[in-house]
Amino acid sequence: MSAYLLRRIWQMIPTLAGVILLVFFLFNVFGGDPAAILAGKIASKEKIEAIRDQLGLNAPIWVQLWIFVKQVFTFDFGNSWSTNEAVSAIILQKAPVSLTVMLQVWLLDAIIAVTLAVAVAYKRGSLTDRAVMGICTAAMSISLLLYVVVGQWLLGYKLEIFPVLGWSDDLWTNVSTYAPLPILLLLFVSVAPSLRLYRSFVVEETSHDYARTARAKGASEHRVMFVHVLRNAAVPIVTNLAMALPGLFVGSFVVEMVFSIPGLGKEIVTAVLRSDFPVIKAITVYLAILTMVVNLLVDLLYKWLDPRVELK
Amino acid sequence: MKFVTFAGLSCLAWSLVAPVHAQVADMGKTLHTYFEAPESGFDPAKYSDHYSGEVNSSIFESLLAYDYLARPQTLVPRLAELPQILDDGKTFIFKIKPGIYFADDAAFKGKKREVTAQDVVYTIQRIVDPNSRGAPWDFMFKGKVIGLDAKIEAAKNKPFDFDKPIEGLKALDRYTFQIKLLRPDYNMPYIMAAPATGIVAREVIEAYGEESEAHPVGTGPYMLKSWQRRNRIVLVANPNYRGHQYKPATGNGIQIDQTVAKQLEGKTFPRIGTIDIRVIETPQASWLSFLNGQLDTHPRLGYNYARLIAPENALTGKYLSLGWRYFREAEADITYYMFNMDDKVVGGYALEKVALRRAIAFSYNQAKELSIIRNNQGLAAQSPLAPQINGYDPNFRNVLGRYSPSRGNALLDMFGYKDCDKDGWRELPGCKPLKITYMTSTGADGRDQEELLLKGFNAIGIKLDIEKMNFSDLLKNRQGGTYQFAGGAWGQDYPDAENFMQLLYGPNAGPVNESRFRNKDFDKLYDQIAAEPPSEARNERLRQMSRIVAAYVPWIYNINRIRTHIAHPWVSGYKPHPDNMPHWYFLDIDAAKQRAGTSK
Repeated sequence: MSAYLLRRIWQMIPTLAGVILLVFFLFNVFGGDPAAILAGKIASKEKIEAIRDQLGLNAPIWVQLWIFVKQVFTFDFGNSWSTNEAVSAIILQKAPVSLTVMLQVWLLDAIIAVTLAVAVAYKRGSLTDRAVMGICTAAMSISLLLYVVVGQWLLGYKLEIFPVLGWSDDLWTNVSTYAPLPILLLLFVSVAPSLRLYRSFVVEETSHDYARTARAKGASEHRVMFVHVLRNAAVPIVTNLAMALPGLFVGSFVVEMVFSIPGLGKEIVTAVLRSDFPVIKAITVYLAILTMVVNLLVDLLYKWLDPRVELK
Repeated sequence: MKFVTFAGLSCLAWSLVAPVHAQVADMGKTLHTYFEAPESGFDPAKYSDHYSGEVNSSIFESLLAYDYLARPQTLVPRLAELPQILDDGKTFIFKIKPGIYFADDAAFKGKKREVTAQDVVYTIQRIVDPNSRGAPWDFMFKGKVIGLDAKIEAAKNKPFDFDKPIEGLKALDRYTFQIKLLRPDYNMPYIMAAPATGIVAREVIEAYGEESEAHPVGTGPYMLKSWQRRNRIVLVANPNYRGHQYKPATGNGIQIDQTVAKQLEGKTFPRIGTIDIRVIETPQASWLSFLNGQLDTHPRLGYNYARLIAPENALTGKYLSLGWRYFREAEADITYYMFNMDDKVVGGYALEKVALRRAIAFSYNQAKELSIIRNNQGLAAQSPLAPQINGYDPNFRNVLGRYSPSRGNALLDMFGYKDCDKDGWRELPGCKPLKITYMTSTGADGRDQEELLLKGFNAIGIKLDIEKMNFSDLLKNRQGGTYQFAGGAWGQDYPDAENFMQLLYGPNAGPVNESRFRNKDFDKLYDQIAAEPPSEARNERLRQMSRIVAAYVPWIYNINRIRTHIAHPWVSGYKPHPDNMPHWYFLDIDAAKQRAGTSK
């Protein structure tokens, strides 16, 4: 196991190098020149050059790349070019905000989708199954933007069930007051595809020989479903859930923009618009590392869920 | 007894000469308002974005200010009296009012800190210091003040020497500041009213160093209480603020909004203890927040919502019955399309080049842009100038500014722009290929404008390519002259025609004059208007300059924007100002009505 772990960690290095190179060259080719924005209304060539000097953009490309590599390994991405705020402070402030919304969405999505998936798979082919699948197809066909715009107007303004927007410094106020509407709307979008996917996992498992054998041995349908089928269906379900984990940190920028939630998703959009490279590269690199770590954890989880799996 | 009488008289005398005392703000009152885009930081010298400027204008004070209600914009004293002007506009002497104090801060080590002339010298030098994040506001003083440019040059790659005296910036005594210019410039008093010239204290800036934007300490009516970056800013009344009573400016041609003036009468400001600003970046969210009372004022309502509540430019019955205050104000700005006059295809001054630009101008449907794309939230621009500024003539008409593709086609035919290869598109004289590229930003919501342009170009048989790029690259191309045709916009830095005409002044070709227009007659007239105070003769020169621009067409005028602003009935004293600053300290709230309104 430890050899496997070491090998996987070793393999992360070239992946990370690829991410660093990709982000670096994408920014340098398409990222725009932040100096032109920082220089203000009337910016002479000399002034732009002076700002580029201050930002280190006039250094040779390999020097800039080396600085980037050092930043990745020291976890110090310096300050934002547009606001002068430490990038680490931005991430530490904004990521928990995104998590406040997205973690609840992730959890509720998992609970609702798995429960309903098992339920409809249990009744597969019935009117309930077909109705639920039909609703899911319809729900998936509508864009998040429409849910958000209509939801804010109807549930926030017209029915006054939730505040139209807002965010506070207090976690409990956010969880109880400001987060529920964004969470509800995100669930409208996320539950439908998850439910369809999980149902297919469960249905596939129910048709396997071991399920038939269990039934033949007299096991109740409940036991077959919850003890045998669900345990095996859990492997792809857990994979799917775990793969969504890195995305929780960056949130949903649409929801964060519309509901004025100061999360990392909104921050990324602002950073891109302002060509704020330190923020962009920090978030991208952290996200890449997180994704690799989650992948590794998922593989370990496979082994725990299904001891037959061999980690090579 | 005699002592009591003397003390009483002394108190009476002191109360007459002392400034209106502070702490009139009701800390129980909160104004909820919003920004449509995020702020950057609250250091006036370092940041040039509009929303940081709005906050800065409430925390810091400049030497002068604009009268809140007077139109046209009229300068009034703030930290200093109106300046004494000497040497035909080359020397300005400002007398700072004694007894004005900065808000308390640890940097002052427990002492009250009075504003002095030396603070003004320091503030101006900070604005031009290249180490102040590129000094985005340096153009207000660079190239103008005696001895300042040499100091800027010396500060490249080393710290700015704030202590070395120069001829152009002097503290003559504790309260007297003198600025000496290389050339006459009657706009200097306007510059000394810009939010970027808000006076800072050197010890505060040095104490907080690189984090100065998070520790703004000024003399203004408000202080920063909390800052959730790019989401929420909370300001509270500054207890050291001297208090302010509004007295309308007087003078020829000055108009005052009497309704608002009555609301301000006899009150000492600020009245509101807390200003709670949220960053709300989607128009629906801010509109719904206003509707349900989460916002007390809604400045700059989106075009669609402005049309919804006032299709005929007056509030409709439903909204009128809510008692909303409605303002439809022309902004001191202009949007336009510009040609690169150095470009081989669209630039130049030969007749066929002028004809090409005029033909394109004839193909542009300004009326449609105004009525359909802009929902009538603007004025059809007729000259390079904007409303609300000195020298703007609302009756001036651009005689060549009309939509007429047939005239455009006739002009092109006359000057040899023919469809040589019969592919449906015209070629240059001599049958060389003709294709014009319009550069625009990916971030801009400009698809409707692009379609209108394409339609116009199609109508005169000229192929138009649209090239999209990020905003910073667009800026670089425009300022570096590597474009053919692009959009532009300008808002006032100070309310004078010179601030707009500089955009077409030959020696400014480059980052200021992005169209790189060069015309000797125009430049000569510019030199004159830049060095003289407003007068009818100057206005005539401005009209002449506008005619030259119309004739050579380096710009196709688009619109002067009109913005709609609304406020709930419990907000009094609200009046949007052409300087685009919020002036929160003149507002008041009826707290009982606010509670009733928001609990509905």
